[in-house]
Parts: sequence; C-alpha cells; structure tokens
Amino acid sequence: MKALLEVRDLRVSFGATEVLDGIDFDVYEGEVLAIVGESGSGKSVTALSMMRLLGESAEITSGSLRFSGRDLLELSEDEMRKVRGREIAMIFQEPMSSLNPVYTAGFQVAEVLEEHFGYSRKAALEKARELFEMVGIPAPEERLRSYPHELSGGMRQRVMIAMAMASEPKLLVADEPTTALDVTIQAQILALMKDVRSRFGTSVLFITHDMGVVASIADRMLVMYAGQIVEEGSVESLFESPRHPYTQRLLACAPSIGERKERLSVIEGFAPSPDAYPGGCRFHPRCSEAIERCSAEPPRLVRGVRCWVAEDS
Amino acid sequence: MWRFAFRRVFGIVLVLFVAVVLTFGALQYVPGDPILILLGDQSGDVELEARLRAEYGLDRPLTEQFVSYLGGVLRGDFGLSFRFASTPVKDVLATGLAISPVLALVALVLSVPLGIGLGTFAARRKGTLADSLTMFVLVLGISIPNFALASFLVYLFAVRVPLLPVAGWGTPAQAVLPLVLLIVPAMVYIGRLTRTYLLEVLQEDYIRTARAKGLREHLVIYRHALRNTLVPLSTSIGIIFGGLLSGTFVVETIFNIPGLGSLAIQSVFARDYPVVMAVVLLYTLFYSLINLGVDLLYGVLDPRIRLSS
Amino acid sequence: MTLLRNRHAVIGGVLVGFVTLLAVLGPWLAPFDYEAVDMEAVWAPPGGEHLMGADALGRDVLSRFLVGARVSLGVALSVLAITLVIGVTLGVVSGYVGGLVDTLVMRLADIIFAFPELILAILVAAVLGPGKLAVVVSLALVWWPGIARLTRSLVLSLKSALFVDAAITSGTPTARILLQHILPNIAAPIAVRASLGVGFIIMAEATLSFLGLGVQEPEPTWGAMIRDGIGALRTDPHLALFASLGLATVVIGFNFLGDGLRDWLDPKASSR
Repeated sequence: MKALLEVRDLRVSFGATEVLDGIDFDVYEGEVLAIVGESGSGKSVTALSMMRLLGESAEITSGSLRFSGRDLLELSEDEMRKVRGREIAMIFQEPMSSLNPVYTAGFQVAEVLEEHFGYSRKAALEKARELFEMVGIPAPEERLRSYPHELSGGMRQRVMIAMAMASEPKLLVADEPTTALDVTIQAQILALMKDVRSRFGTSVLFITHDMGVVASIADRMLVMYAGQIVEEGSVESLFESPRHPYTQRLLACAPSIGERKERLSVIEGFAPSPDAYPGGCRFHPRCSEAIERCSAEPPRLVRGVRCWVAEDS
Repeated sequence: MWRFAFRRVFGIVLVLFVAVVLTFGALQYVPGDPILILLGDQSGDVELEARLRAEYGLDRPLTEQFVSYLGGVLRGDFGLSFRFASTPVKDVLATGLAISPVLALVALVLSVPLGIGLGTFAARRKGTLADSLTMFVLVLGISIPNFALASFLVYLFAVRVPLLPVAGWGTPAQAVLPLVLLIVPAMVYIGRLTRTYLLEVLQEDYIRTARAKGLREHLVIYRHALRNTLVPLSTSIGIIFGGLLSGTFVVETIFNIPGLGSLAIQSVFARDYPVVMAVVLLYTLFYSLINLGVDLLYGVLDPRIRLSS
Repeated sequence: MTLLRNRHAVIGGVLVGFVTLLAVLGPWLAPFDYEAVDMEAVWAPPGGEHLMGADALGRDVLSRFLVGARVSLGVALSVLAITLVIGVTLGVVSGYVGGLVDTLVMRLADIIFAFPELILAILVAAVLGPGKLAVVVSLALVWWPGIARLTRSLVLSLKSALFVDAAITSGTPTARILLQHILPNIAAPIAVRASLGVGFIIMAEATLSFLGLGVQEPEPTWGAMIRDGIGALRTDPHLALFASLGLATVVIGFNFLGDGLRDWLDPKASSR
C-alpha cells in the first residue's frame, strides 16, 4: 500500500516542555489509522500538528510531515492554508462549540467551497445541500438556514463532516469526533464516517481514547503514552495479542464491542505530566511487569513495540 | 419577541413619565419667582404681572398645570421661555436640536469603526510593542477628560500650528475639533472592549474550525472572530452614546457651538428653567431611544436571542 | 503576585500618593493666598515669582492648583462616602430582606440608570443652584445604584453560602449575621469598585465645574481653571495646560491603581 502521509521524528514543545518525543508513523491511502491514548498522551497534539494548527504556545521543533510528495512543515503559511480544508480536513470533539454561532450551517459549509474552489454563494449553497443529504441530515433545504444552536449535537457533527468532505480531501483528521455524543448517536456518526470513507476513499486519522470505537472503525492503530508511540499494528493483531503492558491494560479496561464487561482492571496511578516524565521507560512506575532495566534505560520502538519485556519475549 | 418589545417600550414610557414628573417638580422648586425675574425693573407693575402669570399658566392649580404640561410635552410643546419673554421653548430649542443630536450621532458612527479597528490592531499583535503602545494610548485616552484634552488639542492645532478654527459653528472645519474631542473617548472605550472581547473569541473552538477550513486570515479575523465580538460590543453602545451626549455639553461650551448643551448651561444660569427641563426631557428621550435601538441590534446580531425570545 | 509587582498598581499608587500629598499639604506649600488678586501679575507667565504663572486676576496658579487638588479630592471623598453608605445599606437590605423592598430599590436603580449622568446633574444643579452641594448630591445620586447592585449580588451569593445558612438556622440575630458574616466578606470587592470609581468621580466633578455648574469662585478647582484658561489659550496657555495636566495625572493614577487592585484581588480578570 502507498503511504499518503509519512510522519518522521515529529517533536512538539510547549516552551521548554517537550510533549511529542519523536513520533514516526505512516497513513496509507484509504485506510483508517486510529491513535489511542489517555488524555495528555499527545494524541490531540499529533492531530493538530498535521494541520499546523497548534496555536501560539506550542511549536513543532523538528521532524517532517511528507504529504503527497511534499513536506508540510516546509510550506509557507499561505501554501499550508491551501492544504487545510482542501487536501486535509479536520473534525473536532466538540460539535457544540466548533461551529460559529452567528452563521447558518449552510453558510459555514458553503464557505469552504467558495474559498478553495471559487464557487459562487448560490452554487456553494446548492452543493452544501447535496452534502447535507449525503451525511444524512433530514430536510437539508431547511437545515441549510438553521443556526448551530437550533441543531442537536449529532446534527452538528454531521454538519462538521459535510464541511470536511466538501472538498473531498485526501486525509480526514478526526479528533475524538464521537466523544461528546450519546452512545446511539456515536454509532450513527461512526457508521456515517465509514460510509464517507468508502465512498470517497479518504484516509482517516482517527484520534480516540475509546477502544470500542477503534474496533468498529479502524484498520490499524497506534497506542500513545506520555508523548511517545508505545505500540503499533493492525487492529486485529493488537486486539488479539497486545504486547505492550499498557496496551494490554487499555484493552482490559475497555468493554469490547458487543459485550458489557465489568471494569475489572483499571490502570493504577496517573499519567505523568510532560514536565516530569520518569526516566527509563515512561510507563515503568505504573507497570506491573517492570524489570530493573525499565527504570534505567529508555526502550526504543522495535518491531512495533516500545518495551524491554515484550522485546525479550 | 413581542412581549420583550412591549416590556421595553413600556419601560421607556415609564422613564419618560418619571422624567416629566421630575422636571415638573423641579420647576416648582427652582429658586426665585420666574415672573418676577421676567418683570425685571417693571416689578411694580401688578397688571403686567397678572397678565404674565396667566400667559404662563402659573395662576392655575398645580394639578391643572401638570396636566397641561404633560399634554404639552406629548405634543412637543414645552411651554414658554422665561428668558425670551413670550417665546415658546420649542423655538428656543430649534437651532440646537439640529446640532447636538447630529453631533453625537456622527461621533458615534465614526468612533465605532475606529475603536473596533484600534482594538483589533492591538489584539492581533497581542504581547508585542505595538500592542503595549496601543494599550497605553487607550488607557491615556480613557483617563484624560475631554476638556483637558481640548486644551492640549486647541493649543496644538489652533494656536501653535493654526490649522483649525477654535470657535463657532457652520463650516466643516469648525466641526473637526469638536468631533475629534467627542470621538476620542468613545473610540478608546470601544477599542479597549474590542481588544478584550476579540482575544476571548480568538480562543473559541469555532475559530480553530475556521482555520482548519483553510480560510484566509482576514476572513478568520473579520468574518468569524470580529463578527462575534459585535454581540457583546453592541450592549455598550448605550453607555457610549450617554457619554457622547454629556460630551456635547462640554464641546459646545468650549467651541461656542449653539447646541442644546450650551443652551442648557446658559439657561441654568439665566434661570430659564422651562428650557433646561425641555433639554433634560429630550436628552432622556434620545438616550432611551438609543438603548431601545441597542436591544433590537443585539437581537439582530445574535441569532440565539433572535429566535429564542 | 504581590501588589508591588503589578506595574499599573505601582504607577497608579505613586501618582495618587503624590497628588494626595499635594492636596493635604497644599495650604502650607502654596506660596500665595489662592484668593489674592494682584493686578500687576495679570497673566504672568510661568517662572520667576509665580512658578506656574498667574491667571486673569493675577492670582497665583500654583497656589490655586494646590488648593484645587484639595477641593477635587475632598468632593470625590464626600461623594464616595455618601454613595458607600447609601449604596451598601440599600444593597444589603435589598439582598438580605428581598421582597417588596428589593423590588422598589432595584426599580429605582433602573430608573436612575435610564438617565444620562450629566442630565441628572443638570437637573440637580437647576434645583439647588450651581455649587459644591449640587455636585456632591448629583454625583451621589448617580453613583449609589451601581454600588447597591454590586452589594446586593454579593449578599445574595453569600446568603446561600453554608456558613451563613448555618448562622441563620442556629438563630443568630440578624444584626450579628450582617456584621460578622456578611459585611467582612463583601468589603474587598466593594473597595475595588470604589477605588475604580474615584477617578471617574473626579472626572465628573471636573466636568461639572468646567461647565460652571460645580464648585464656584473664588474657590479653585481644576475644572474651572481649565474653563478660565481655555479662552486664553492663544496668548497665555499656562493656566489651562497646568490644570489639564493635573487633572489627567490624578485620573490616570486612580484608574491605574484601580486596575491594579482588581487584578491583584481577582487574578482571573487580569487578562482583560
């Protein structure tokens, strides 16, 4: 398979604090790659880095983001702007606050088409109506004229998806798009995303902390902990036989799809804060299988896992 | 929506009624007998005194006077001036009425975009020297009373570098300094608010969405961010207009402009109370109307209000 | 953050302290009697015997400047004292008792808010006649509703607080609840509001005096000095310029100090 996006040695700092410690991964054409981790693991920072939308306080200090043959980090701000919303689109966790309250849903979708493809307002709104229909918004004609506060959370996320798909991007970055929604709505949005992915062949980088969501949508997954990738592989193999103790715990915590399990094992302790990462393996203070070497020497990502114990076995 | 509009209009009617009662009451308690003031040297002339009292309606019982005052006010008739014998107050007001409200409105219309521009300039450069300097100028502008500023400006532009006239009314050049003095405080007030609100709005998720869409930066700032700061900004327009109305008193006094403000001040000293009260009523009416306009504007600017109320 | 590390508060404090010192020591510092007319010195330029020059009647501007500071601050403090007494009392009663009293007080406040400030001042000046009393009364009339509203909202939020609830249910006399539990807890925010208000009150006093509705001759105020000086700007700018400078300094001082105090007591608002 061909890589659409190749991320190499991505490092991000907030001032003196490094929050992404050399991330490497590829997103292949047409696949759904999930990034899984607790809050603070750096998964949302990774997502925003793909768009170069980290904000003023954070800085990408090194690395490369090769996307369709060029390094996104080398682009000028204006060239990057033309990538955003056109080749890479993004949807966010909070559909409530991610739409501008003073503009209609239709206008906010039409805007993308006007900006990137020079559509007239009328043509853009007509296309927006089609998109609304495609993402399953009932009575699309009227919803075009609705303001965000008049729509339910699920409807707003559908509007966000319509907005993201308006330019048929090659890559869709989805930052916890279902987290803020009710369970039944979650399932609908996931189904919609699967549908959209197969219809357009779009690659999806899907950020989530929910293993159930991963199982239902993703082809491959990365597990992140404390600013590093600790394990990667296909969803099947990782669910079948997770090798990193952290992945094992995550899977044990999460009820798998279709079965309601008691939350038996919970990971003890707290995720460390970026300004005080432990030496050695960053997970060792919380790891029940840690050996002496784990606290002394940081493990590297070898054959898809960053763990001394797993590497030896 | 209708209930809201009805309540607001009722509120304004109540305030204006209170204003009428207050001004009428004040007229009863002002020092000195107006008729005796009017008579001047002829104070011995009993017949003339009786005639004047009848003409001014002062010989009738108080309640009757109040009803006729209220009725007059409703028709735009504020009675007769004490200073200019037998002249209706509305004739005395005519010149000023064409000046002061226009002056305040023009200043409002100019200061809003200027202030928003300044605030946006500072907010987009947050933390830089340009921002600090702008903020310093804004704080200075808020703290210096406009008549103190007037002495600096008049000294500079009319005395040191004589470019502009220092008094009078009628030519466009004569309007420049008065307008500048009205605009500066309003502009800096709006500028400070704009900076604060804009910095808040720029943190919102929907701004990140606008950037993620690949919109050009000016569309992100002006279409998405600034448009949202207009909602809280609009609520301050009433306060700003109140300040501008007060400002007309000051600039009209400084530049000898025959507006309602300078007329009111002269009338206080000349004890021409009907004129003073008429100005009080008119300014209260303007202020109420602007506040009503602001409420309606708020509904237009914020779709959440527009539909839910 | 300590108050001293707040740049605004320090600058404001220094300016306010300086002007307060001038106001307190004014009568002793003044080189001349502020009322003394000297026809020889009419519009004397700054420097020499008259450091800030003299005015149209040959009165020493520096002496009038110093006494003017005293008058301005005196009026501002009187207004502040009256608004605090009326505003806090009505606010506490309104918030604590509620019901009809609350409705009446708040509607009254609404009505006062519906008038432009200067308009009420002119109404008062018309009835009482221009003068110091008219200034104090009209400014107090305009300022108390703001303090009352703030106090009321503070009292309302305290009333539902646990420790006050406990005091009420344990039968503590109302007067003791108010003095021991409520007042100490609302003092700080009200003090900040008051300090922010001083600059504006001084500005309002100066405006009224400038318009001739305020403090009357021969007592000097900066506002009246600016009015007298503005007509002579072409030939003798010193009177208006010195008085404007003094007024701008004290208002900037109080605004900076108030901003600093607010940031210090409420760090959340400091970004604003």
